[in-house]
Amino acid sequence: MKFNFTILLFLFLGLSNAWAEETLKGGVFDEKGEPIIGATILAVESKVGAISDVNGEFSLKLGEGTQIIKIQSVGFQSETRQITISANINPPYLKVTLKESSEELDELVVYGKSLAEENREKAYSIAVVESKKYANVSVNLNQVLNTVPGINIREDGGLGSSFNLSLNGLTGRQVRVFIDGVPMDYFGSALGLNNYSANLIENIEVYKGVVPIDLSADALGGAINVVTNRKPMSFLDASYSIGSFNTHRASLNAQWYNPKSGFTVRTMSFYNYSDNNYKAGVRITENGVIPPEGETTEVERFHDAYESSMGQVSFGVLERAYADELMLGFWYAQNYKEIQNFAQLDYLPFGQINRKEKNYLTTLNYVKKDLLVKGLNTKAFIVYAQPQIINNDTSSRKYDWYGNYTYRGAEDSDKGEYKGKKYLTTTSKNLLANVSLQYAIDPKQQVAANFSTNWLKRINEDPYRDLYSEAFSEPQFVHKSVIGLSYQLKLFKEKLSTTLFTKNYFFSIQATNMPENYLDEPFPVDFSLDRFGFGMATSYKLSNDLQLKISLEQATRFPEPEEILGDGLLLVSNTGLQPEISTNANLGFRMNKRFGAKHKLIVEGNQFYRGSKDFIRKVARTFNSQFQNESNVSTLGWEGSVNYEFNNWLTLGANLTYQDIRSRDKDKSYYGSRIPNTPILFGNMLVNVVAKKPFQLPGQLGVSYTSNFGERYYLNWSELANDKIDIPRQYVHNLQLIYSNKDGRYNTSFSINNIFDAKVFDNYRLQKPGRSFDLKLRYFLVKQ
Amino acid sequence: MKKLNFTFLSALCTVVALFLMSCEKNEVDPNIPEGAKFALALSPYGTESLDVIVETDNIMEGVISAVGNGIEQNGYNGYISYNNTLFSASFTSRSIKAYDLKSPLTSRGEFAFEDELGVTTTTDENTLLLISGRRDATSAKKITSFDMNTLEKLDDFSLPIDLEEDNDLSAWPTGMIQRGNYLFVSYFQRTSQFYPVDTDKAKVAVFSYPEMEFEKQITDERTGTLGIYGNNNGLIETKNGDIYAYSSNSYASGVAPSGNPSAILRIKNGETDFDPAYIIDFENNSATQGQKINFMHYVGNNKVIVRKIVDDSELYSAFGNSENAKAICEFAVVDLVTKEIKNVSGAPKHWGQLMTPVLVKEGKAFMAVSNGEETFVYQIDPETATAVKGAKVEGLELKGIYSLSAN
Repeated sequence: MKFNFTILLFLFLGLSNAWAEETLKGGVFDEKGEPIIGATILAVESKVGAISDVNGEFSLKLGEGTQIIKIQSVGFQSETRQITISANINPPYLKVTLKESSEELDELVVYGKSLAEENREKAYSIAVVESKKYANVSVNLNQVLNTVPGINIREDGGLGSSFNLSLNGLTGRQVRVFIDGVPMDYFGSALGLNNYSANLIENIEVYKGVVPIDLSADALGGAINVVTNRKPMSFLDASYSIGSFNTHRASLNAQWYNPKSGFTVRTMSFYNYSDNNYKAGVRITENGVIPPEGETTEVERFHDAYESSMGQVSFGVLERAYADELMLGFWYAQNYKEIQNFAQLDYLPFGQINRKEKNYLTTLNYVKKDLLVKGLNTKAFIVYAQPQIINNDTSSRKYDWYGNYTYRGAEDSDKGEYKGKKYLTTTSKNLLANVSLQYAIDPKQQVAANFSTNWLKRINEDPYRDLYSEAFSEPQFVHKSVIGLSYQLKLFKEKLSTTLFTKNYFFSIQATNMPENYLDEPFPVDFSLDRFGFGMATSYKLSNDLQLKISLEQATRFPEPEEILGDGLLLVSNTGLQPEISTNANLGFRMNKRFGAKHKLIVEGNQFYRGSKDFIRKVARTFNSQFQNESNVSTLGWEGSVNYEFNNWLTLGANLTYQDIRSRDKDKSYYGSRIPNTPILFGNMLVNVVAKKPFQLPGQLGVSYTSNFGERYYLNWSELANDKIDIPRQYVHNLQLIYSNKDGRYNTSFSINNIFDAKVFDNYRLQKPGRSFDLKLRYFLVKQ
Repeated sequence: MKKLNFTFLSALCTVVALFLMSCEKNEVDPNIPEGAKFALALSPYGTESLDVIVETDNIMEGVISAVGNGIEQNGYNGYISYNNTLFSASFTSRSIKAYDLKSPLTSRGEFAFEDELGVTTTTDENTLLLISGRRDATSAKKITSFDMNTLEKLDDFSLPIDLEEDNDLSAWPTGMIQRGNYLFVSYFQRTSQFYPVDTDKAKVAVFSYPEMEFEKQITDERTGTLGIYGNNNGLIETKNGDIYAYSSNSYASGVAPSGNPSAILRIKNGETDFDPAYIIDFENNSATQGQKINFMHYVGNNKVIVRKIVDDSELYSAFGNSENAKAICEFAVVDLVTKEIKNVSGAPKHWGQLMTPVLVKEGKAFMAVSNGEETFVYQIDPETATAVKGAKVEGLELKGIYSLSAN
């Protein structure tokens, strides 16, 4: 059987605008009679299309009259058939045999674009990462995202360490993460991006600053949507990787689809473990004296292990008359993280502090095109999540960097390695629902509406802190809703595409706040807010190869409960915290050009502006920290990327992002300073070579070299003081070898990360792993 | 082909431009005046998490700013100086950096302490004593001695004063003096939530020195808790060896007032008990009329400069740069021997402060005056009880003024 995976990514315009009268059924086969999966069958005039299924079969609804049908598939010469459709007469079964072609690349250009490419050409400022490229390599989603221009992910350490993602200068909660459109705001780190192996994911959409209404949440600076494989097909994708620092990662992703009944069972699961016992340079005190900057000792991290696991099963139907997708899913995820030390306190290791999370999710998804009326597409989901987080610091041991310990004291009251003893359990219940409707008025105009709602109930408990807990042991309720409306218009033969949208945000919170002032009683916090946002995105195709894009949005993000109420420990409340509002603008171009048959060049550039009011920032105070509004922050940045492909075996790529994020608050001494502890210039480079049938072996071998660069930046406000603390410039180089056999069924990869064992820091004094090795085995089967 | 060139060129330009933009000035010329005479630790406007120590020639004129100037401190620090060494204590990194008080300021090392910093003092043997402990827990405090020169830790002792675990009570120190064979520690008892209790008496724990064995607890019911949180000045020693202690007994300084007045007590040289014959009732006095002491600092000649609270209506309102801060303080001079209290004229109402904000030089005291909008150095003459406005400081808080010796 011939199977070509890429072709499944094709998207066809105008699918929903057909006049359907009669159903043409048929099959597409190669010269050996094997079915061709994913061949495209297109009625040229009416622009109705279909894709052949795993049996090579298709069905196509056609209006009366004579129709020209074009059948094509990558790797084959296309065929054309003329069919006459008469009312009330079923057309005959159309069997097509395609001949193999050697010019598959040209076919690609002429006949279709990948879904990712199609998305990239949307008017929004969007980066689409096809995870498939990374599927065979031992990387997680964070590492994949880190190669996107404008994205910078800063990790505290090795596998499972906490991380902070920034997108065009906005960071943390300002950027929302979705999985298949479901916002992950309250799902915790057990389902965090760094747990997912790249092969679990189809692609990742990164919306910069301006977010379409169907990704509905109060995102300030953009959104990342992780898209899993939901195509009607059966497949099995299993991988296991083993690496340095006793790192094991396994994933299983499978789907069974019955084309006759539409019944589908899908599972996605992962398991990750690492000791993270890499060597890091730390300052070791001698008789209390801390060595000067730079005089570090290499020690093995001994309390940094991470374990995470997730299992998901969903079942339902695909491709039925009443639903394109109707699936009920159950998830369970958990993780465990040991805390070795905190930022800055590199001379103070811990040996017992840890954090545990678990989460149960139930999901219900419904997708239907042409619901009741032609051109009316709908998508809806309901998710119920029950995350629980436990922060555990109950040991009275005092550790040194060699794992030796003494006891603080015999007193039970003197437990806790960092501050007082704690065993803080945060239990949440989170209900999310979303309904999205799209209606094509005509081929040029589309209207859409989206409603999403998000309810959270959270309660904290700590058996050791009943004196404290009075306030935060009362449940907190948060409710957010967003209503979005949009209108899309395409003009000048679809060269110009414009989308206008509005978003209405509603937010309410009910909680009991602990006063900072011990003489006051805990007091209720109960307020609601609403905000109005709007935006537009426009793209214009100057030519087939070159597209210009402009997008604008006034976005709002409400403070999270933790930001308003604190965590009952070191983060104190700020009930006066205002929602942050940002005016986001992007101006970009994308050129995707071929030169002859062998050269392909993709050049992208984007200039971005973020003008943020009441920017929410965590401010360290003497003994605790607090989220505060920074009245005025502006970001101006540029990102550019160049990719060159030669003859399908060589890829060269580079990208660079510069961001200038500064305070514009004239009342502050740091007016005009860059925001503290934020990277300024960073980029990536890629060289990828693919050899088919290497050394007379079957299959293909890929060698890829990547490097990441980060320019030096300051820990504090740039314009204050001149004897300053900085995070130094860094380069990391990585090498990967990937060998795939049997059309990608068996895959083996070997990676060396941080080849030159560079000392790498994303956060001050938190050194990341040095050189490490990874071996990954992956089995991928599509099939019957 | 023309289009190709254009595209390549524009891509190249973009990349080059990006690189050029990144190559901005990284090094600012050190802006230190030759042979600067003073070092000032300040929190620039809007920074609750960053201090800068700047050097300057003149603290009575001009504007002192940390923009492009000075040594960044790692966090919101507390400062104290002994024997020409400035100690900058970081609450974030639980460590103290030592600077020789000469221009240009250079760090001569850093040392760690456990948990949160309480109070410090120096001893006859030129060691630094430091009490630290958990602020948000009920546990014993720890006293640690450090060599002032090498900064090495010499010894440490547990300090279980007034510890009642079952009642969630422990002590927080507010002052410490080593005199002869004794170490005196003033403190208040409080819950893990930092709620001071038993506030209607003054308490001092007396330890043997250098053994650090607990000798006794002395109390005095004529006034309230001694000293305030975040300061060393709960106990001060005058030239003749008398120890003086003050009670603020005020909401503004963090304590629900008892019925007793804000007052100054004495432990005479050679004694280990409060002097029953001595008290200065600061609150009930014709000069102050109900006002309370927030902070006092010995300026020589048996005189102390007092920062007094003129409006004690709000909790924590005298703790410098915090959301509760109010301009509710004024200055007074108190003669510890004659007990005369004189209000200082010439300075406006201003914020309270943490740690040691007084420089005494040539008989004059230099202090910070901030009202949350503007900060100035003021020179106070203890003899005439008058204040003169000096240099403007670009910052919300001036946390310490130090005199630098010529190199």
